[in-house]
Amino acid sequence: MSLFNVCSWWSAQCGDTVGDYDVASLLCARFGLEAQEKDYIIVGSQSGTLSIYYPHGNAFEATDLLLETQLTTPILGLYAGKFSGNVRNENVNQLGVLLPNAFVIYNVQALSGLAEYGTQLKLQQLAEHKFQRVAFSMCQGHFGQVKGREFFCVVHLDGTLTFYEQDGISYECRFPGQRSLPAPVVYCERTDSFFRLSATWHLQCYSYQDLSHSLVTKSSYQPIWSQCIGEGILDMRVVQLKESCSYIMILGERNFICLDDNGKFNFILKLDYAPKCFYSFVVGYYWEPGARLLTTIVSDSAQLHIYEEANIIWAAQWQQPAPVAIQRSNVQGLAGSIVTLTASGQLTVGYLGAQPYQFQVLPLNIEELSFAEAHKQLQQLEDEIKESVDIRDMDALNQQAADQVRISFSIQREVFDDLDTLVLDVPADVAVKELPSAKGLLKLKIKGELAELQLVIKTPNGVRCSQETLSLVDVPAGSTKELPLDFYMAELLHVHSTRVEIFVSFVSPRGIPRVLQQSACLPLSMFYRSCQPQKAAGIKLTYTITSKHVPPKLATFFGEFLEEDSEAQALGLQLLCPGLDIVTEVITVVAAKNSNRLRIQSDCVETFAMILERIVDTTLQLDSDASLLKMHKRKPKRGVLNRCVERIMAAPFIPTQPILHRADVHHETQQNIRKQTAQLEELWQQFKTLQRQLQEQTESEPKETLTMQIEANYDHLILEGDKLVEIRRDEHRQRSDLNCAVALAKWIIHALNLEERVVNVVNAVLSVPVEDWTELSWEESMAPGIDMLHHFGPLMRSKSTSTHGLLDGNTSNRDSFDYSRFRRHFATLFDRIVRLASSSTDEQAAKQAAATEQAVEQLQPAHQVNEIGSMQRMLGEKKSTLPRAGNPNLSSSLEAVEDEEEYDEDDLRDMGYRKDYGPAAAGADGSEGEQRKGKRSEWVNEDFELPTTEELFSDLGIWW
Amino acid sequence: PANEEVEFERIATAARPGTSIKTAFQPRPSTSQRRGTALSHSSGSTRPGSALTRPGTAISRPGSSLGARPASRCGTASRVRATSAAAFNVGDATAALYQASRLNPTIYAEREAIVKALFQFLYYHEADVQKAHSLCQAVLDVQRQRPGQAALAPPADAARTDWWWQQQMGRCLLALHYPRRAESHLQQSLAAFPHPDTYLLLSRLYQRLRQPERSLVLIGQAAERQPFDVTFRLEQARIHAAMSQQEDALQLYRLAARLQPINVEALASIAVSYFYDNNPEMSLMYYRRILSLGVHTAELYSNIALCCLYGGQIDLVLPCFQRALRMATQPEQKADIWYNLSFVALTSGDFNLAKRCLQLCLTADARDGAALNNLAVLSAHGGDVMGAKSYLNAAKDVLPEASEVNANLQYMELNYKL
Repeated sequence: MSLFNVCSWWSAQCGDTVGDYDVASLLCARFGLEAQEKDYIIVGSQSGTLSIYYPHGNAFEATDLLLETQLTTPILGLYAGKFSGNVRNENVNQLGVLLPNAFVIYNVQALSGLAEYGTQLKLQQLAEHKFQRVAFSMCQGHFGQVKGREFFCVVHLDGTLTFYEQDGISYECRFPGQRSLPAPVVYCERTDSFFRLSATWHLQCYSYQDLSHSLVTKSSYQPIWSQCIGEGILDMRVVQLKESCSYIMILGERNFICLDDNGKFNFILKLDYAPKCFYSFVVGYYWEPGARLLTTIVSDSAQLHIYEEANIIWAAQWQQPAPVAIQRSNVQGLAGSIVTLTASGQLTVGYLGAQPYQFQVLPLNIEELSFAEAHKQLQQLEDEIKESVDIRDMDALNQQAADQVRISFSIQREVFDDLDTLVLDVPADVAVKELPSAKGLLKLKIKGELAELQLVIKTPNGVRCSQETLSLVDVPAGSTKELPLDFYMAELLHVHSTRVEIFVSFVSPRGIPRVLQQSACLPLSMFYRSCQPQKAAGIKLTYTITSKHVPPKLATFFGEFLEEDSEAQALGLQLLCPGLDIVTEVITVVAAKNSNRLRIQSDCVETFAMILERIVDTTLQLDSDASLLKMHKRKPKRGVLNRCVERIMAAPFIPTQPILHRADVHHETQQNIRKQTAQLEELWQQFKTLQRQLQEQTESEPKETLTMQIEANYDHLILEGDKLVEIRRDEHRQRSDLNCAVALAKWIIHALNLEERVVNVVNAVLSVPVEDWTELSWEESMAPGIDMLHHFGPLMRSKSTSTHGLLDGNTSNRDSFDYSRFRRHFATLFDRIVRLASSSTDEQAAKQAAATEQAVEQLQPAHQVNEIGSMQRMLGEKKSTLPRAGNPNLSSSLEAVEDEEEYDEDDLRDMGYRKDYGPAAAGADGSEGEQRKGKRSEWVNEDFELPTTEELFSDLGIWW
Repeated sequence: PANEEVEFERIATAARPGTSIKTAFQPRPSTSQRRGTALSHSSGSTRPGSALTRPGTAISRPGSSLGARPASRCGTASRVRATSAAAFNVGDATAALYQASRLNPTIYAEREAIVKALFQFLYYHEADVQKAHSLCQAVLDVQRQRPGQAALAPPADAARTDWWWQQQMGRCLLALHYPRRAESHLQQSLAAFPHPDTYLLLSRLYQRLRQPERSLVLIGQAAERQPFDVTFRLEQARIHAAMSQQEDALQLYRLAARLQPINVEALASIAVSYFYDNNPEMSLMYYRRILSLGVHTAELYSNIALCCLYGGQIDLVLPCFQRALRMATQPEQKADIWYNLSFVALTSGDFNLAKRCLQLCLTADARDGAALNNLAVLSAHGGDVMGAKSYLNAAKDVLPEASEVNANLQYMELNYKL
């Protein structure tokens, strides 16, 4: 940042270009070889090359280099002075070279050249002072104010000083205290004292007298004065400006400091650049008035700043890297030149001039804009943008995206037991169960170039995949990627789905994002193992396969457990996970022999989700494979019936109570978590307050009580924190149970005979997996949706709203979440769905039935609907079909008690009805019976309404 | 790379003031007229999208604008930790060798040879102010137990020996946001030894305590002691600027520029004040001077471009912006440049281009309240009232205090039944 250049007058590259030069590598001095002598420039590198230059003109010539020699050891410093007493000419100086373990004094001799290659210099070694400690730097001067000769003092790396006087006397000063860091030492002739920067960043002044005598008197080394500089220093120099005063100029790391020799600060100048090296000198003579103290400081960015005292008077810029050493010198032809040496050995003699510093802004090579061309480009870009953000035809877009990235994802139907639980980091409690795992394969084929591709594999809760994400950057076109995947249980949770979803999102080089999705199902054998079918169970569901393309055999659905041609009628499956010791969670699937119905029964809500998913999905899949009709191509319209029913239809029954029970448990745990969190927060506040008190207490006050309080508080905090962790773990488990329960309801509703719109809406509300947030629990987030369904949704038009008092009006109080209200709504929602579904089934059946029956039905539609609804809500149900001896493996254990005839439709019907426990049905037994009789053939028994326990006992006592 | 919060000895690398010249638009009567047509429906004299940029910069990007300086220089320790230390540790081969957090201060407090360097390492390199503070504390404890440090220094120097530690203590406490506690330490240090850093720290402390007059008095003393030191002059000028005494600030910047003609901060400040003073040509001269000093940054080019725009040298405007865009590396810089370019577009009457510029500004920095507000106005002008409303609401999220946004929202409420 300057306006002028440092002009180069003469420059040369020193022999050693590797670049081991520092501030001590440069010396400008005279040796007294001739009368009109000017300064020689001596350069010594740290690799031992010593060169002496004598510039003759304003360009480097070969004759300017007078000496070049290679020493065996590194050169640490170069000095010129009267180091030898036995030289007659008092103008003659000797060259001193500081080596790591010696100080060598040379006499410089000139060999005048006869030919045009000019004069040469020769070094003649006069003396060599060796020392044991490694040298750091050296300081010379007329110690003790002797005239005519100079003594010197070597600073060693451990901070000790060794003084050499010429008569061979040498002594060592070791400063007391800790080993100090090496720092430059300078000598001030006026006061005959040394200045040294101690490791504590104090500038200390020692008199030569003290130092030289202390060895004799054993007195300690006391500094005359000591001043804190407060920073490390780069270099230090002493200049005498007046008769009465010398100045110590110090270049610190951040400041430029000047003290007088009495230790009084003259100024501290804050530098706004990083300094590298400096040189201070006096213009004029100190014994005359008008002497000026000038300092040049070189900054890290190759600028030269010249100060008079502390006022900046000039700034200039070098065109080359910042020098590491700078000297003012008087070379031949250029008095007052600036001699600099860079770290790579570039030696320059320069001067200041008014040559302006030309800051050249690099030209921008921007092509001339052709407007037509640019317009075309812009148009093209805009078209591209429009195309990429045009979302009117999503199908085409998705098709395009799928073409761009081909995904094939499959999961093998077999399960494996050879999972490496250690490598996959399966928790010990899961690993010990040795659960089966599944293997999958994902193939990606990328057709076009992509900027970025991310792949996320989403598994249901509890299941983990060996690789969950994959991201690729700058994918070239045509690349393929194959990922073998392992799926395994990582937590002992109830799993609600076998579906593994894969999301591939990618961004094309133009920045257009696309997302693809694919899914595959894990084999059921990963979660269940077959077992003996159960005869009785708490919850029973019935599905009727209405599709012509799906054989209503168990083997169709459960290929993992049954042979393809197996005629098994019943299949018992036991959940492997979480595999509690106390309860075995068994689910039984029974296929009616002569009808298309399937019954699924279990005591446990959690077992259903995956089985129902399998049944419904398989049916829809097989049907759509076989028929031309594509389900998703049609848009749902008002009044259109659920198209799923054309393939599979569920009996209108939802086990509301168990589902709500799961929600209850989950909600309670949520409440506990909040309570616990609040308590933790309170404790934490206390903790902070106590800590603050401790901070603010003064030194003198006793701290014991406070410390005790803090410790007690801390223990409590940890304890409560552990509790919270425990509750959270419970909550996690309960959440997955709730997942299963909600999924169960969802799968039933999915196949209910309802308006399609209703099914879609309700299934959208009942989304799985359920999520909890810290601010909002699942129940709270669900409540508005459920509420909505009550008040506005298609379900509102249910005929029997009034009887249930659904609109309890008080909706204004939204702030506080009312769980009981939510629960009530949830229950009535299920109720209503079931009722709607039953009535529509009813109607459907009625249409086909005889007119008389229709009349009966129309007499009491509402009543009837109610009853049916409540009837189906019953829990303990008939057991009938269970041990269907279907599975050949199991048949031996199944005692083969029942004959095959039992599964005839008629037989099932004859088994009669189960009594309803519900109050609504209780009083209406008579009429109910009548109705039943009328409708029995059409629909009642299709639901496998089951005999009471008593009936079971009597009819099938053989089981017990 | 030095972090500005810790590094009070920071070296100015960029033309500091006026880096966000978008602030420049507000006081210019010509612009308001020019844009008055575009904003006909916005509330009366309020000029959306201009004045709010000043608070906006203060919030969203410290260090970029004049108004934000005090805030940016006194960052919190946590932010320091988050930025600098991480940056340093990347690629620092020695990082694995020590763990500063496990260092026990009391062990090192008595090892005089290294403890000062250790402090600087902790404070500047590790940026672990907390640790540095506890080291300070430990050292001061040791010194208190050995009064006078008689072993090393003669009694006369006893008071002087620990000015350094008092200063560092004050420095740490200031960085830790304990200005009151820092004050006593800094005062003690100053009484023992008048180090320039102590003056500057104290001045910042008083500014933090909202006593700029006090820091002015203090810095005035320092400047009297060392009239040649530009640092103090600049500090004085900054305080004046922070107190919105632009005239005094300008005088001091001029003085600084006279003392040190290559001082970029002074030059840039003078340029900004010329710019605000409806004198873009003079401003341009100063900026060109800075450019010829070798400063070569996106902000500078952006400023030059704006000066050219208002000085009538239209042919230079876009090339300068091109350069600025090419040199901009930070998203904030890009956002600023695109924001400024939107004014170029407005000046030429191309609202479509202006909109695009603002959208580009938002892609660089989505939380630019000024751009959101202006985009709202432009949308409303183009007839998209709902769009305008949503932009305004977004702007309100970012700058809840800005009067322009609020005024515009109010206006919308009054005139459009939304």
